[in-house]
Amino acid sequence: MNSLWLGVFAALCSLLSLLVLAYSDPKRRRSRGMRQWSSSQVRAWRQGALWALVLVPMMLLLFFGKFVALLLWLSSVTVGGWLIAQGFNWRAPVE
Amino acid sequence: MIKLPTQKMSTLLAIHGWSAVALGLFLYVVIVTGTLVVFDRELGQWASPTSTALNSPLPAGTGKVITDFAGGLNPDYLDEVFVFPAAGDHLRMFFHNHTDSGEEVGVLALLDPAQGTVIAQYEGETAEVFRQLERGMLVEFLVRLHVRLLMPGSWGLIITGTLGFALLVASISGLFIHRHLIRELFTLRHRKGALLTARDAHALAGSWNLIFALILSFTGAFFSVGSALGLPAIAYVAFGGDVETLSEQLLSPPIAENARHQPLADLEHMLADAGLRSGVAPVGFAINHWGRADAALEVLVAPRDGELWGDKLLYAAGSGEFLGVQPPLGKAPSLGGDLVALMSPLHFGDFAGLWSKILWFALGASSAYVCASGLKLWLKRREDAPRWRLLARLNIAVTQGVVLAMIADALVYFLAMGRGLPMYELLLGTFILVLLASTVAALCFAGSRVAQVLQCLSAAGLVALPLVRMATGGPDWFEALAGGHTVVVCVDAIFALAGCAWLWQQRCSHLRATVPMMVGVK
Repeated sequence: MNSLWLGVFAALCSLLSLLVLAYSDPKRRRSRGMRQWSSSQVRAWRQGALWALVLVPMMLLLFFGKFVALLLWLSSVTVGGWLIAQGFNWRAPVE
Repeated sequence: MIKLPTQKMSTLLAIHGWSAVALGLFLYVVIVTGTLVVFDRELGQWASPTSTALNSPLPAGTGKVITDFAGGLNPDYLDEVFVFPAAGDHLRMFFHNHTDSGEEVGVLALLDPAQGTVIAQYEGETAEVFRQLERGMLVEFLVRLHVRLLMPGSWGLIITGTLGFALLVASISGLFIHRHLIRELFTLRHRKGALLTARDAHALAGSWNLIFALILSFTGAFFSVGSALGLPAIAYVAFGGDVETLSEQLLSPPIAENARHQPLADLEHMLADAGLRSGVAPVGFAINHWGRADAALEVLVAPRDGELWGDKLLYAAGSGEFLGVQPPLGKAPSLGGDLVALMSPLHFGDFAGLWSKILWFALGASSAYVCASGLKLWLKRREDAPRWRLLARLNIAVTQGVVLAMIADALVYFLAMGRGLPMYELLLGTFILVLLASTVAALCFAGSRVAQVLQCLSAAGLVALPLVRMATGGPDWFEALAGGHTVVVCVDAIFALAGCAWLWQQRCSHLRATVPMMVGVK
């Protein structure tokens, strides 16, 4: 797998976790008047685990010295994260 | 969460705001132009394509064409030769020498490698010949606007370097004043007023973009300040102020001086050898002392997969012997040299082809949004104070006017191409004229109305660009596809679609504003 596809694959893995993080984000749900997903204790554990999942591809790329893929991952995750955050706040709350 | 005392927080808030507000409009221009010139190669191919698209920047036969062209030049100009890619797959060749006064004098030529012909050449001092270029000047102009804000000498570099530091300060202070950076990474509150929504949108984009704001501002400031102040400062300390000797120490190939006449070995063969040794295509080269026994050829090759920058292969150009791979800086590999080499891919985002460019473009657009929204937020909070109203109007004139001015420049470029007009002066005049007209309009009429008109004009200009390009002699879509220039069709389509979408959005917002008023009247 070349650097481009490695970076894209790593970014997709992280973006999936970011999607779940954005959907379940307690502050976002509260500000939009939506029901919380789970109790606060489970929430904290789940958010921590999801953030760890976001960062795992970065750690692996760093460990194996794949710097081109790492830069692609970093830029994709920052752009994708911003777009996800904007997308989840696109319109007034439905619930 | 970063907890700070109230006093420190308000100081940081002031630093964050003032560092951006004081230079915000210039910063916006630099960011917007930088975002656009991420696609300098693609824009160059769109605006000035070669007869047929090329698979390699230096196709077979290029070495012979360059050698033949050099044979007809004043031998003094063969002291130093640079050959590097230019807009639209063309090659720029700069044959020059250094005069006693420190000026570079020589011949700049534009080569169409697809045809193997020199299509333009200019003779004179460096600054002068690069301004005489006609083909490719549109991208060159945008690059100059980004790098130097069109200012003469080192002043432009010093100003853009200062802007880089201002962005660095704003980014770092933003990190500290946004106390819930992680907790609010997905929060955009709509229900508590427009000001809070605008603040959240600014913080959201700023938070996601933070790492790249730090990277781009640092590397940008390094490029600007490094060449304008850094090199002269090191030369002053270590070489008695002699910048040329310093440059030779850092960049010149390690070949002992020998002024004896010796013709150049087969350039074509050396370029092919560089491609074979590195496994990737050469993208440009430099020759020192062409025609002498100590002639050196440095061939720059594209980065291999997994590498951030390409190698520099050194040849004894008189004998054609391969001497080794040169470090990016100095005579031996070093961490400093690698760090300097790392600055380019980090700033330009060209290390993984089109994908990395698209990402860098998105990051640039996000930075421009953070800059414009921050400035708007600052002015919104102070809209009752008369002294800030002037800046609010200037904000509209610059943020909207710069986009319109760049589109107007592209239209003027196509209309003036091939008419023998001074292209640089024409683009500069158009840019200043559009920006002045926007400023006068913003000062004389209602801000929102002016913004709307400027946006409509920009959108209409975008739609007109492909039509004007084709009407003024550019290839139509069938010709472009037949010549392998898919990029021409893609850029045309992007501009036309973006223009239509922008016009539609303007129409919708106009309807939203007028329909409630009409209902009220009824």
